[in-house]
Amino acid sequence: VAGGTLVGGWWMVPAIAALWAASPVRSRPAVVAGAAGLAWAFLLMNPRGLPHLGRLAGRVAAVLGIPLSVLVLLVPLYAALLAWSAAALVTAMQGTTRRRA
Amino acid sequence: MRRRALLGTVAALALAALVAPSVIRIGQLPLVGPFLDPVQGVWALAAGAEPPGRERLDMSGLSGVVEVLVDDRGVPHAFAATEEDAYRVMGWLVARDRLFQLELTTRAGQGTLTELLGSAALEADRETRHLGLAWSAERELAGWDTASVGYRAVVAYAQGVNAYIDGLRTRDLPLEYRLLGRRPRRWHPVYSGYLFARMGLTLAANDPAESRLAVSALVGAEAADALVPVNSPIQEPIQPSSREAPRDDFRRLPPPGAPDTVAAEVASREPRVESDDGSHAEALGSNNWAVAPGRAKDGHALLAGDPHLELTLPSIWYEAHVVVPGRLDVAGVSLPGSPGIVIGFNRDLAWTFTNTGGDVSDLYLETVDDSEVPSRYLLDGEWRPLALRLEEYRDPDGRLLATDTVRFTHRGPLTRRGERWVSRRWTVLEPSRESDLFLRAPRTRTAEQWLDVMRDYVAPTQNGLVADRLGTIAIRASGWYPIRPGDGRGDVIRDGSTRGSDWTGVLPVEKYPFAKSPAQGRLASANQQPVDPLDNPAYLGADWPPPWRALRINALLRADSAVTVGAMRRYQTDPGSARADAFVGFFLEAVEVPNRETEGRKDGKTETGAVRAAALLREWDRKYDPENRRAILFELAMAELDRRTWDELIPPGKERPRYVPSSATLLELLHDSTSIWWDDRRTSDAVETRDLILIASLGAALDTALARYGDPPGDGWTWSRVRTANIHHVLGLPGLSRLRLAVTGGPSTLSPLGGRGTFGASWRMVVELGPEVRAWATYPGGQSGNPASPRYDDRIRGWTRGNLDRVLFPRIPADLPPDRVRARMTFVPGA
Repeated sequence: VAGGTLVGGWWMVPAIAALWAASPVRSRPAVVAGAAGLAWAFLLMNPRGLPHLGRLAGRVAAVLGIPLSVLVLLVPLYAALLAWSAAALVTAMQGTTRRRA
Repeated sequence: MRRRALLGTVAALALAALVAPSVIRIGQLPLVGPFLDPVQGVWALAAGAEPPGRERLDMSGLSGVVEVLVDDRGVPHAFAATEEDAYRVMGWLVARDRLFQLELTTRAGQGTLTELLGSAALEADRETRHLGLAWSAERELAGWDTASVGYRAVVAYAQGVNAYIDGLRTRDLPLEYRLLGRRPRRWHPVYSGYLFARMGLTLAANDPAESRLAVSALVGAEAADALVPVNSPIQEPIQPSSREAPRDDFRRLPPPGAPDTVAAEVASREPRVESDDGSHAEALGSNNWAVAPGRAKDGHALLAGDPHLELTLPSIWYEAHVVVPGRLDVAGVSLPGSPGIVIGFNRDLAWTFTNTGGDVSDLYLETVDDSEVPSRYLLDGEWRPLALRLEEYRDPDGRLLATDTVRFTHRGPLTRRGERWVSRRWTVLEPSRESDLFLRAPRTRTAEQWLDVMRDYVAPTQNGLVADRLGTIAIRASGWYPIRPGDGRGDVIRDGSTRGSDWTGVLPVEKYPFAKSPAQGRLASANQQPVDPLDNPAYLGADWPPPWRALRINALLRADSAVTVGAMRRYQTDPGSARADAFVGFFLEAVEVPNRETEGRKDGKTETGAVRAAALLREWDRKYDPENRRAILFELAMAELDRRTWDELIPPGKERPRYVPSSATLLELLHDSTSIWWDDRRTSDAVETRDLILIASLGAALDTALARYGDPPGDGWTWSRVRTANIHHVLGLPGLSRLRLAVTGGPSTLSPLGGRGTFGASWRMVVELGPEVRAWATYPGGQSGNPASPRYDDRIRGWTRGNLDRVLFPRIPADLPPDRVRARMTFVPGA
């Protein structure tokens, strides 16, 4: 997921999650979500940006009018939810397809 | 089966809910996915907060390699082989640090803010276009000699900005563009013209004719002449006077007369007062002063400058150092969007400006063929066609929001005022080459040469102060001063139907207010009337700002015969106030000295309050330190005094006066204790005199202070709790602003702090012109426009304390101490 985001941006998260769910590995959506959340949290820790992240987060949170903690949590949470919803959708569709087969 | 279907439905809905706001903008929210993306989204700004330690960049158009070292203050030192290369790289650097500001400020001058911000900016754009700012900038560029240094520089600068924009990666997109969901537009050389036009509006928008019309409409022309005077009642001129200075020229104000009906028809409906205490006008100004070697402790000329402008984040200024061996070695500040160093120094001299505030704008009452949709205007008995310019206002998606037709006479833009049509001629709209001058001036080696270059300066009028290593100090109030027919006054509206009303020329440079190395060994300007009318009666303007800052700085310099760099710095944030010195005594005397006029007529309650207030005011040291606990009482008393004195200037049905005369005029009136102006017409059963108004003002001020700030022994009266500097982000976003900053200063102190605290010292600089030029400076902000950068606002702390940083001024890259270098960039000629 981290690599995908690095190369293609945010929309790679649901795409990779969907592929992951469809792959023979067949991880549970919650696992995929956790991995995506961790991947984005990891990407946030870019060593070049890390010293300035707190300052930036504080200012962005103030601009958006939300608490800093909410903004910080929002990043991995958004990735996790994206991944979960895509994985869960694929899992549900696969179940339906298998039953029909 | 059912559970799986339910899961599928919930997942599909969740996915849609998460993806939709990432591809479709909802309200003011940024696109969620792209915004939160840790690689390309807003977080990427953290990685770009500091420039990479070493970079090699290809740039097309360069004729040679340009080395740039960025020091630990974020200041780039650019070493180039040609000036065009230097300005090309300057464009790139400014775009990297201030890209959004570049676009916003130039769109403000162009009147196309709606294309960035949407319909909310429509009225601001309309006003700009009706003033003809964009029309003027475009006309100017079209007529520019393409071989001139100025033209080549703005073209090179544009290429540099575009080189940055073309190479801009999504991850480097400034925060503001992300919030607005926009991308930067490419740069055109004319944008530098829009910037200067906008600056002209800021510095030369005040037309005394407007003030005089507003006053005439209420109390007649004779009273207007006294309340909006051509000559300041207190003379402390920039050009040292042949008479004693300061010189009071107080006269008896004529009584209010019958309203002038023509003035009432065409007077602007906009209020001329911008804050409750009228202090905005007194905070929008600047200081500069210079000391000759004979009065400096170390025997070198000293120069100080601090232009007072709107305080914004990012700052209005961008600091830079440009070296082109054998041609140019200049450091100082530029306006983002223009290549030249506007205020700064080179190896031989330093210069700075204050606004002169000359009257460079005139109104003409026109006769048109159709009062609704005019197409012609009458001139010397003939109908002449109006030039028409169709203005289209578009939103960020290119959709048409509105259209306007702006009309022009041969004088300038035509606007409707009630049933009348008024045209305006304004030097800011005349073809000029300010960019050219700001590029040529830094090449000069002596004050004489600098003054020679600035002979061609047009608008807005500026007090250019220069000092050189030879010990020369000089000042000239430069710019075009129109010569008008008849009595020559520009503070009246003229008949537009005849060419006989037109300007007949401009004042020759030799007639500008000027001084060079005067015997007094010092020069100072602070927006006051530049020359004593007894020395030079030529009409240069009217409605001059009161000279409180000029009085204060001259008093400080007069008392110091061995001025040091440290003293120059301290003076810039001196807490004393000549205005307080002038007024406090009147309040105290009115309350404490019995006299015939107040005897038996004071209201008991008011008197008790005033006596207590006077006792508190007497404790005041007349200074505006952040910890001061009496300044607020004086300010409230002054606001009350204005409110109670100028009731005649409140239009019927309104609550606030349309215009408040300057505090210098108020002081003039205070010397006439029985003037009819003291009577408050709103109290029909009594006739007030000066001392009754002073007593009532002081008593009311105390009531207000107690109600708002509690008892005086508490902290509520602390100056820094009631008046603070407020540095707003250019879009007004509170999260990116620095608000409620405790600073030294009040209305009319050398570092002024007006009502809302949004104007002030935008750049403070002290230069010592010794064998090696040394400089100290700062501004309230930081070099970077990136809020993740420590250099977004790193200078604010020092600025609030009145500290200056030593400016690094290396001759060659190797001269810059390695521990002060934060980044090295090498620009090489590319494809």
